[in-house]
Amino acid sequence: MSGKAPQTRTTTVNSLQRRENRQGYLFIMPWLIGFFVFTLFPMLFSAVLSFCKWNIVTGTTTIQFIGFQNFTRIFHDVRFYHALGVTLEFSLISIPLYQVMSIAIALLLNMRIVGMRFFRLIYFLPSIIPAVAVAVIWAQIFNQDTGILNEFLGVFGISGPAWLNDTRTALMALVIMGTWGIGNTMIIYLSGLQGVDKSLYEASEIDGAGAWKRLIHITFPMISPTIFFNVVMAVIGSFQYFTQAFVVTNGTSSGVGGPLDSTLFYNLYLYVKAFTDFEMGYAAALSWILFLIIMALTLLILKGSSLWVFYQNDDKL
Amino acid sequence: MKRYVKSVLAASLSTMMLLSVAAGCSSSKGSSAGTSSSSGTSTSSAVQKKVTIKVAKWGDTSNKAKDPDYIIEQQWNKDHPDIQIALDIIPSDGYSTKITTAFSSGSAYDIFESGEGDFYKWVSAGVNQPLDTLIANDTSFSSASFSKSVYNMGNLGGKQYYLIKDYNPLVLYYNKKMFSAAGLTAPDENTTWDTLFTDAQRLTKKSGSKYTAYGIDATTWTYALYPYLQGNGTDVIDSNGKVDGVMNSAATVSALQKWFGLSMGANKVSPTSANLSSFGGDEKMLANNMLGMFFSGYWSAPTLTQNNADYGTAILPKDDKGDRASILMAAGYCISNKSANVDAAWQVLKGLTDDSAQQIRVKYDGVLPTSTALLDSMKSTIGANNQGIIDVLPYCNQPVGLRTPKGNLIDADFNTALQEIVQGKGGSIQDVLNATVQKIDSGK
Repeated sequence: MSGKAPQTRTTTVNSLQRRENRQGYLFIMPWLIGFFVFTLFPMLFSAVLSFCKWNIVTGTTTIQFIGFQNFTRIFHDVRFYHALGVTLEFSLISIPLYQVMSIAIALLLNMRIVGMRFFRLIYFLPSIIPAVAVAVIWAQIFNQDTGILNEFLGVFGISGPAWLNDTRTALMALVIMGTWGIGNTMIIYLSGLQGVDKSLYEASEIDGAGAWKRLIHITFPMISPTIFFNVVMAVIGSFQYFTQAFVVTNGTSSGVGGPLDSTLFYNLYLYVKAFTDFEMGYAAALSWILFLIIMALTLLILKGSSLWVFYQNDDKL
Repeated sequence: MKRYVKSVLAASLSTMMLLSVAAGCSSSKGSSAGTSSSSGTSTSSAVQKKVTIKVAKWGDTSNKAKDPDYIIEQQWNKDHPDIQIALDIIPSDGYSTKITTAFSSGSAYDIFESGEGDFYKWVSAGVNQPLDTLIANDTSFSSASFSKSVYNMGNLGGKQYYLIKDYNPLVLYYNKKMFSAAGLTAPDENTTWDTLFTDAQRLTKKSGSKYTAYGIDATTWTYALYPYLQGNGTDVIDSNGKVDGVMNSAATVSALQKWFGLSMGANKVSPTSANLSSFGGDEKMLANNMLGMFFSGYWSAPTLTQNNADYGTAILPKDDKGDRASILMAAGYCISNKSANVDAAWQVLKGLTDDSAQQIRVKYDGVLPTSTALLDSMKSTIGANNQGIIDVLPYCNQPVGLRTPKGNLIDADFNTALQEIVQGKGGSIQDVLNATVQKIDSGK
């Protein structure tokens, strides 16, 4: 008798556990189905396609295996290197710029003054506007004749450029356009700043540290995990840049990525190969190379993070 | 009971997800419930059950009721209960992508519209159904009513792939008010390119360093440049499709130098493409007396009328030897080779391009009818302002895109060359054209 009771309890617990497990799996099943059908399968399909030749308008029956030909072609493709160069240039300018601006605004919005919630709302608001709408608005702002940017420059006697229609300024115009969307990054920095222990500032003030020293020696180290996260996300985002450049250049006389390919981002080139040139296999190969580039850069940042990212209770702090 | 609630809820969610995935991934094999042959050899009598033919065209989606093809669709569906049209009007910006994705996702349209510049593109992609057998087997169809040169625009490599739905010649639009104010004679059959450019100088007005009016739109639209080059005894390709020695010839370089002199430098008389987009395009600029002349098709006339512009049209100028040229632009419908209902699609295609459809298009759109009889009757009603559109027809040539199978690629490369000249890249005009010819010939 005495030995049977625990066995029954164990059986009941196991049965309950199994039922709960089953229910758990059923509840996550919609997500799992979505993941397999809409993420994993397309990824595997594109991996297969990258070794194939496929004119997408002719249907899946015309898919033809060609081995590594797409990849060898890519490495001899001048436009591939150009598109990669445009994307790299954009990333090198925009990522540091957006991070500095986001931190600066977050620092301002972290101050204790009346009406701060209103200011936070105002600065965050542009980032919830859809990218297409932002691009359309900025195309008007950059208009050479009627845009407010050139009107403003005209006040100082400066004749503004054609911005999006000039090869020398088109990429910079897109960098400026991107400042509109820093609200998300800024809000993450703001939450990071609010998590910094106030006692650290109090102690440093007692030790005679000024505002600049507090910023360098307390704020930056304490929000370094946040900086790390935002930089990784920014690298991924900048290499996947597409919508704004597509909206402002599609339908113009110089075509997608114009003028003269000066805004031909990697993803725009990928789009052109897939949907204008109908070379879906080549486009799939391009997408996998992009994946490898982003992964390598992310790993590089991850590897280097031990030198500059500090976590609370970390020995290095 | 309560213990099952969670399981039932979770199972329901999963089932719903599975069903939605299944629904989303399923592709309709053809758009109909019908059973017509896809061989393309049977006649309309083979159509036995009700079928729906999916048709794609570009257009203004915000004003569907005024789209002529929508009106044609409504009328057709009333008259033909056995074959229904499902018309999809797509904004022109994303049109090509939509057609492409429709093919790749297995939900291709039975019939789709194409501009003549893309005729070869779709045919070489292998998505068109040749119409020759359908035409040969259909005694009710005759191409005799079509203008021959227009009908033949749909014939590529000896096969008829498209039926032209409408077409447009390139014509010169001018601002009557600005010409009158400047004391100039309106352009006519005696106007040469040189007098036109001199007139453009006199129509251009400045206030300080700011332009208040431009004489002519001499931007980089290749369709305006081809007749200009041909009217000056040169071209970008010869009759054999050769570009070397033609596109980069001394005559082409000299003509382009004159052309770009209109839009570049201190004495420019042409807006830039950025200026044009700033001020709402050629039609609005002309209506607001900010532009003296521009080249366009008949489609500009309705917009000018809506904006109360005081405009006229004229045939394109001639050169010193008296030669002149223009260009024909066309849009056609074709049947997709993925259509499961080729016979029904053929019936619809005929309906979309017949005389009654053309009458509706002429009424609602700025286009010319492909029927010679309708065109003849239109000549007396088109009005004095639009007379140039009729007068220019005898001088029209085929666009580069139709003159050779690689025409659309040559057009794209020539357009890039023009952009390089505008942006000051690649050296002199001669250097840019030499490099472009080399690129075209090397097939890169």
